[in-house]
Amino acid sequence: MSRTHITTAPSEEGARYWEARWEKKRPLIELGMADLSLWLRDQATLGIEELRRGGPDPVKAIASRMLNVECKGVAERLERLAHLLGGDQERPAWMERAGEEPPRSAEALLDAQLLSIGELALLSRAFERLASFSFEQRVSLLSELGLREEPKSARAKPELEGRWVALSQQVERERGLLVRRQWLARLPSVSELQRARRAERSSSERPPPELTASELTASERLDVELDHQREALSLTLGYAWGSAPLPPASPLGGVLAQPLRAFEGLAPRRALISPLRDMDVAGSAERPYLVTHERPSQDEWAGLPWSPSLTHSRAGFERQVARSPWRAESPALISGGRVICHPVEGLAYLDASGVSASLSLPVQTAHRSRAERALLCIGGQGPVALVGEWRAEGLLALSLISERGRLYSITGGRIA
Amino acid sequence: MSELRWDDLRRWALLGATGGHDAQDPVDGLLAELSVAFLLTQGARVTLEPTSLSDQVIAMTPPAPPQLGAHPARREVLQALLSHPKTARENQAQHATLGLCFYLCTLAHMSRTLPLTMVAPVMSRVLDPLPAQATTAQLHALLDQLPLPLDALLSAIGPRGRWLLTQAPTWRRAFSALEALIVEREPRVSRVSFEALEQGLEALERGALSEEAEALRQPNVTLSQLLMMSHPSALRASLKGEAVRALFKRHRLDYAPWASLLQSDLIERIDDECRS
Repeated sequence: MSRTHITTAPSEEGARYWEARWEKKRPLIELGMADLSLWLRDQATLGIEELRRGGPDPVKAIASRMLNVECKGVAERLERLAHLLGGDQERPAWMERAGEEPPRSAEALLDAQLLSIGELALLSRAFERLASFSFEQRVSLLSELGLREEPKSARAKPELEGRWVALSQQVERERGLLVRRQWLARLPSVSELQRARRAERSSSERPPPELTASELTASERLDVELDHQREALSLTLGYAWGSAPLPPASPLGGVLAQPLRAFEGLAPRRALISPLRDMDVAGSAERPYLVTHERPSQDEWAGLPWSPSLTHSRAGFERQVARSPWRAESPALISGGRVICHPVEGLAYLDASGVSASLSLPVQTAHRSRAERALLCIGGQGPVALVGEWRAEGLLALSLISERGRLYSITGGRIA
Repeated sequence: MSELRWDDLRRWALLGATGGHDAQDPVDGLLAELSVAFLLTQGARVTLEPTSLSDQVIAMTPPAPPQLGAHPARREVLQALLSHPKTARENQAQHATLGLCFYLCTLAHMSRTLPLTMVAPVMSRVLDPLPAQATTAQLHALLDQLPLPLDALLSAIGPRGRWLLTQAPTWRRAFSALEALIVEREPRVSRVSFEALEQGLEALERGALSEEAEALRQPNVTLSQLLMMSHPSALRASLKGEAVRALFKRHRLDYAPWASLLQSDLIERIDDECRS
């Protein structure tokens, strides 16, 4: 059976762009990664205990080296390791962003250090095998090393098809940088809705885009669904430095008037909203989003790529991590469950099959109990769909969508 | 998927890949294990299917289970060892230990049976100023703690080396002591010296020669610089003994214990290896 459905083929321009970009930076990055490989082998040879004794400075030195060879992503990971080796108890920006608490016990600190080395080793080994990877894996890896597609390249691409709706907004501060993360979903077209209705009438499940379910193994089916989900979702980022305001946001739950353009090869897909220039705050402030008052219908909400259960959604996340383990965020869209207060897990989402998962919230501790109460009010009564992100440590709730198609977003401690 | 437990992996990682196990490439094995651990904490379900990046990475380096030694106990012994005042006799014993191991490892590497990662730390250890010395009792206590891949070493150095070791059990103990010192005290092997050493040994195996051997006779050449020389003749000359003697003198080290080693038929054996 052909496996071409497993990864999305790049556009011709996208493949050409990445080829040219890689060839330009290749000598420098290869040099840097060779250094990283040798450094890691030294650490493994002599034992991490030696590294711990040495403190953060030697690690900062190799991080500087990585910056010099334009491996910014590697440098950031080494900085994290240096932080862990320094025993600094202050929670740095990258931990806040990932919703992590600093490891308190000596054992937890050691584990964090070892896993940090493990991540670097995985990057290093993957780089050695770059030539054998699929386009998607190559782009994913190079992006993690620090070679990213420039926004101007994405802006030059054709628009993504369909009508898009903003599902969630999350604002985080990372050092002096304010970052807004926004998940957008493509609403199903009329023909897709008709097809879905026909499928419902014939009491069969929605078939995957290319192959029928019976022809696929379980993991292949997950791959198909992941690709389908990737086609239907996009993550956009907006930035503001210092005290400057973020560019205007697209309205939550409203249909976007502007077209979307995607970065190539990343999973989950990254996109930017045209003509807003995400990376250029000064320019973007003068070109706000066009606000439409169109709201998706209940059928359109129902046509999003929902998972029927937590188990199914989690399996997709695990598959996604196995395909590309670098990206911290993986969207979770689960329908048919409700929010409960679990005696052990605390605030949790209980799916239709009776499985529950603890929910973490993107709110400060001071606002948490208020947000929890609000979520219980909204999602405790009946079936409600959850929009969130799978993280290594669990499920982060971002929005709820009621049966009547009303979207509630958890942003900055308020339920909008 | 590895069956290694996290506790074992943690201890192995702390100890380092020279800590005593017989994996084909312990360094790669350790890094691969840590990579798997990272993947699992990220949420990956590691399966043996060829489409996932993690599986491709892991498939390259099947991790080998470690054989862990009594690391903390070794550290305690070493602490005692380092705090003890030196004596001339103990100095000699220590130098003999290091010298022997230097040759055994070189020999084993040249016969392609010991990886460079095992050899390089030994080289580095020998060529750096020696640490404080142990009493005989402390040394023996140290040796008793060590699970060493002696069998691997014996097969690595061939029948002649095996015969030598069986004839001289104290040498075997000496090698054990050196292994412990590598684990506990080894300064990090720098990238430059590592690469230079590799090039040097490769060229040495090809039997290449150069007038750069003359460099060894220059008064300002340090032992570390010797290792960093890219040409193998430096290393070859050091095996002849002459340069080593001069360098030891410069480092104010006692050369006497080395003399007998340098005159031994081990040298002939190494020279034979070089020529072949």
